[in-house]
Amino acid sequence: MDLPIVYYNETEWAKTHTGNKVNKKHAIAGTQNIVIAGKTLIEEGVTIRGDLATVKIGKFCVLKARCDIRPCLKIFSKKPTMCNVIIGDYVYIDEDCIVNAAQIFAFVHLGARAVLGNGCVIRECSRVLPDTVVSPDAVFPPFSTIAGNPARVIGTEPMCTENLMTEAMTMYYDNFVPRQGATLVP
Amino acid sequence: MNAEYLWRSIVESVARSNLIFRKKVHIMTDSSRVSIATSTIVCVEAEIKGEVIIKEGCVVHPHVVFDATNGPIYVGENNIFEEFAVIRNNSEGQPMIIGDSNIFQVHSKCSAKYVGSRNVIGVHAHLEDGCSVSDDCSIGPKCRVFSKQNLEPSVAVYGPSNSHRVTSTPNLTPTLQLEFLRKILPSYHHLYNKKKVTAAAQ
Amino acid sequence: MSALLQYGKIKYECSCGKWRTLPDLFFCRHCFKIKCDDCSCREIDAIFCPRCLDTSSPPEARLKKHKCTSCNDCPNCANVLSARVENEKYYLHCHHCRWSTRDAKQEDRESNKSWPTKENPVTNHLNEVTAYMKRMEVIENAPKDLKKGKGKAWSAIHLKDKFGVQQMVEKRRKAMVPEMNPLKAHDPTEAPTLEEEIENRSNVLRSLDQIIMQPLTNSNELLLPVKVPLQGRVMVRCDECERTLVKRDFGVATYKFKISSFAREFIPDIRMSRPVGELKIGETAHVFLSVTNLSSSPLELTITPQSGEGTIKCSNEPIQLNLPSSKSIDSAAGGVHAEQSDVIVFRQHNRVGLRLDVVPTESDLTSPVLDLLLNYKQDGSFSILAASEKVLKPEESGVDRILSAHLRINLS
Repeated sequence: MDLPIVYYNETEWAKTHTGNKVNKKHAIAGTQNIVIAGKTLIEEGVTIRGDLATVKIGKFCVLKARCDIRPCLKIFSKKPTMCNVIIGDYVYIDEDCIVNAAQIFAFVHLGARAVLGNGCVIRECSRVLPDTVVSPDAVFPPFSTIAGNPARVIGTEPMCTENLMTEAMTMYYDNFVPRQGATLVP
Repeated sequence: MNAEYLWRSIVESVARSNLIFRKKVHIMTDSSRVSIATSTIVCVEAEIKGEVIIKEGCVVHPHVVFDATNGPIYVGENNIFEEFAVIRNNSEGQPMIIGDSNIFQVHSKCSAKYVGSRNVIGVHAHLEDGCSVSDDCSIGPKCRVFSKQNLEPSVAVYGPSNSHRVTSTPNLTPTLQLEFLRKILPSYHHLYNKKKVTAAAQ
Repeated sequence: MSALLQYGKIKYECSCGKWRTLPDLFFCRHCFKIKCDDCSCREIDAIFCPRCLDTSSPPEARLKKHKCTSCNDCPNCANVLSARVENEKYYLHCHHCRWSTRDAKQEDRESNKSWPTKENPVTNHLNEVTAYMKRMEVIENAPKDLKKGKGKAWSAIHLKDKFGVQQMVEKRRKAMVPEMNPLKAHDPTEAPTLEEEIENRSNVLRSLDQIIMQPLTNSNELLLPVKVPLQGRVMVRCDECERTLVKRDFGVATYKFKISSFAREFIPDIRMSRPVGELKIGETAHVFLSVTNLSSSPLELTITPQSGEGTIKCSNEPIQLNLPSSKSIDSAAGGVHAEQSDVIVFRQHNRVGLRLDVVPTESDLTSPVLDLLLNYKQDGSFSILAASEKVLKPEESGVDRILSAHLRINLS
């Protein structure tokens, strides 16, 4: 199914010059350490703790309502550091996810209410099903379907996931239009 | 040993020590019943309602809710409360006691009557009314501790069906994390102490 | 994304007769057929550890018994075991259930490699027996070898050199009778009785998952960490013409493909544009579809609704469309028949929206299925590629082929 057109109220959203659309009701801390590549949608209630470490988010990402991105804690020879979070391009993070991961690579789809443990790494083109709990320090290979509590690889994703995610995310961004009254091309 | 008797004795001894603490260190004015120690860092976005006493060294991230409208909450030293944690006392007037060096992770809900020391309450975990958790436990993500459950020391609760297991390795203490947070958080957030004091002074 | 774009409702027919969603299908450029999981072969082209993404060659993997040497799993809950340092020594610890190697009474180690795992208790005995059998094999095959090749050489030397005969005899004897001690076969042991087993059983019960991971542990033994099994990376081949359909790039962790003939890039992609409203018997319902051309050549397409048995009756005539490719620059799309303009809802660059009218009957309400037949013409430039690989005769290249695809849309 094609993604539907979503209308938003222009007063509630801020648009940056790189094309990011950020809802004004967010809980983002430490904006100077957060780098978003462009054309990303950040919905309401999203928490990004940029005060703890730098957060890099790729282009055409979608962060749905109330998700939480926190840098993970790593202890190197008795010195604790919050390691930087790097999220790739074309990533879809569904509602209420809690991401304590060290890295999320490109073309990943995180289902609703997923909990990614401290320092885990999700490689490209993977999908995390809703309500999964990924244990800390887990690494998953590309094209894996991850589900369960504790999380396990239960299947492989179709090999054309890269094209599918690119198409889906660009369609999502293009269909996210401000409410203007007249309906345009569907 | 009778768990109920054990709990009562712990509560009474801690309440006594906290009473002494309250008389000695009285930072806030009489109108507010919230008293927070000087080295504790509480972000302004946290909500504190009712009678809450927090001892030294704690770190409270933004958007934490302390709801002590029904009964007082006494929090020990060196705890970490991460975002959206909800510490709510649902009992009628009974105090809720939280020990030292605990970590309450994101979105955890604690209504327990007693939480010991060095515990880790995981993401989205739920401690229901009336339960008690002793020392060195770890409650996994999305797990629940049901009311009237009294967890023994060094128990791990994990898995979708809340299985219990007695563990031998202790949790990592949050001391290193606390040092880091105490340095970093004041530079990015307005802190509770200073704002309240300036408001009271005016 | 299959879940976001909801491809689950639309199934295409593969050349073997199975119905699959479009992302799961491949297209063989040389046979011009759609291939699915079942009519294509899978081969393993790389073996790697899913956790540390470390490759190994097939003989290496056999040596390692297809388990990674450095990655371990928790025997209690099958989760990741991460290393922690204390006093400059490492121990393994599971974050999920907090099992650690200290529970198994293992001491902390200096380096993080080669943690012990549960060994098969009869491994040594098995190795001895295997070596013994191999030596027996050499002995038994020795006369055959001598008969085959060495017989002639032996007789020639025999004629030449009298004094050399003794040497040859010695050599032959050595080859035939090596020094070895025959292994003693031990008496068959008696199976333990049920009463003994019940007496010796401890209170610890192992769950089925734990037993499957480590099949040889008794319940009174302590659990040891389990090594992570290696995985193979798959390459897909067409089973008729034996050509590769999908091959990944070099490197285990890549998501790029060297060869990728996914069905999406050759067959027009039909999706539902809007969710279908309520279906009522006898009333015309509208089904909105969008047709996308994802290939690199312009497409001429005819959509014919099939109203056969088990499918909803669709009252539209066959629709003809011309879609430019996704890479063409001019967005002016031509070839739309004027009288069919009421069927076309919108036109974008390489996408067209259609509206089909559907009249459901009584039997269709439980599982309404819309059946469509697509006849599409691939541009001639596409099959030139095949000719260069010497599949088609040079005269045939350049001729446009008309291919068909059959698809079913679930409207519930």
